[in-house]
Amino acid sequence: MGYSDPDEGGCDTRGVQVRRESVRAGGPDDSGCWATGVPSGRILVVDIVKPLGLVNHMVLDRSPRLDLVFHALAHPARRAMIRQLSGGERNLSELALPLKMTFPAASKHVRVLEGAKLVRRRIAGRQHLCRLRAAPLKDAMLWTEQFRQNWEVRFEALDSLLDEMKSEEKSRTRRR
Amino acid sequence: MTPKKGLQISTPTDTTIVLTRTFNAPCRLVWEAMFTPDRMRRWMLPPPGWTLTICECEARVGGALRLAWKSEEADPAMTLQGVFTEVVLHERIVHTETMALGSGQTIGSLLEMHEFAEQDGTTMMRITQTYDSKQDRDGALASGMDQGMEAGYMQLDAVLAQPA
Repeated sequence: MGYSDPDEGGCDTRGVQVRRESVRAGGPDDSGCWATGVPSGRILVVDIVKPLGLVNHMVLDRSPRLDLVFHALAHPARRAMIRQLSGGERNLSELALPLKMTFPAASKHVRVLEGAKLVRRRIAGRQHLCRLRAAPLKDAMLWTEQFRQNWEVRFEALDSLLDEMKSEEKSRTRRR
Repeated sequence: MTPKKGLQISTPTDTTIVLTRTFNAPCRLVWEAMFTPDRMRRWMLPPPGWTLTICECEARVGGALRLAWKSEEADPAMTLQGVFTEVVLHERIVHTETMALGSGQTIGSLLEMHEFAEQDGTTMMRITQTYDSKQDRDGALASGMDQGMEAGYMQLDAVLAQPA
């Protein structure tokens, strides 16, 4: 499987996903694209719809920095690079090789990661050495962690219900 | 040895989310708790200010799944409707799911499969949610972000403020 070049500029808010929400302030432009036309730093109040049909009200700060992080994470090649870099510093050829990518293509992806401050690149002689800066990544992952926790809260309530059902069953058998 | 109990989330493909969780109860009780309306009401906790008004679930092939919530502003504020397409008692159950706003506007649909395996009185459950697109899947994953948002931003701000 080949990877396309990183799309430069444009509107990619896939990591943030404000498409499915009903909007109280602001709105997408004609192309349905959210990142443009919204002044940076403007606060949007949107309704987020959860899988179980629950709506959250959230205040979304259209921070361009956060958009960069999610844009950077929205490409499989860049996620693969991050996985590789989690093992330690790598040079550009090492990053390009498993992705069957040319040096310039890999370099472009690294530039996107650098832009999101997910990767720091240093040049040592002819080598471009890349190192992961994990902190922004961890913060981005916090969002997925919330999805998990929202379900876990319900499953903990289910745990209690199951305990109750088990004792109900026990007392029923005892009575017989 | 107790198996790992907490909820695990993974995304094996671009359009799926897999949730795995272990329950300390036999399969038939987990099944009953998950697919019997009176039991469902006990654990499908709505967000603050919301009430589950309709909860219908007929766990047989062709049977309907119907949920509705009201909020302080709207009744219904949201509905969820689906049909069971595959049911193997205490083992495997598949249903469609379409969510809509109170106005009737559809906001997303997915296919949800529950699989259960019992061992020594505990039940391993796996839910596979298949969304129409990667975009929808990512949207669902990001949907929990509201609560972590503030904390996330504060941490991110701190990180980004660090000198490079």
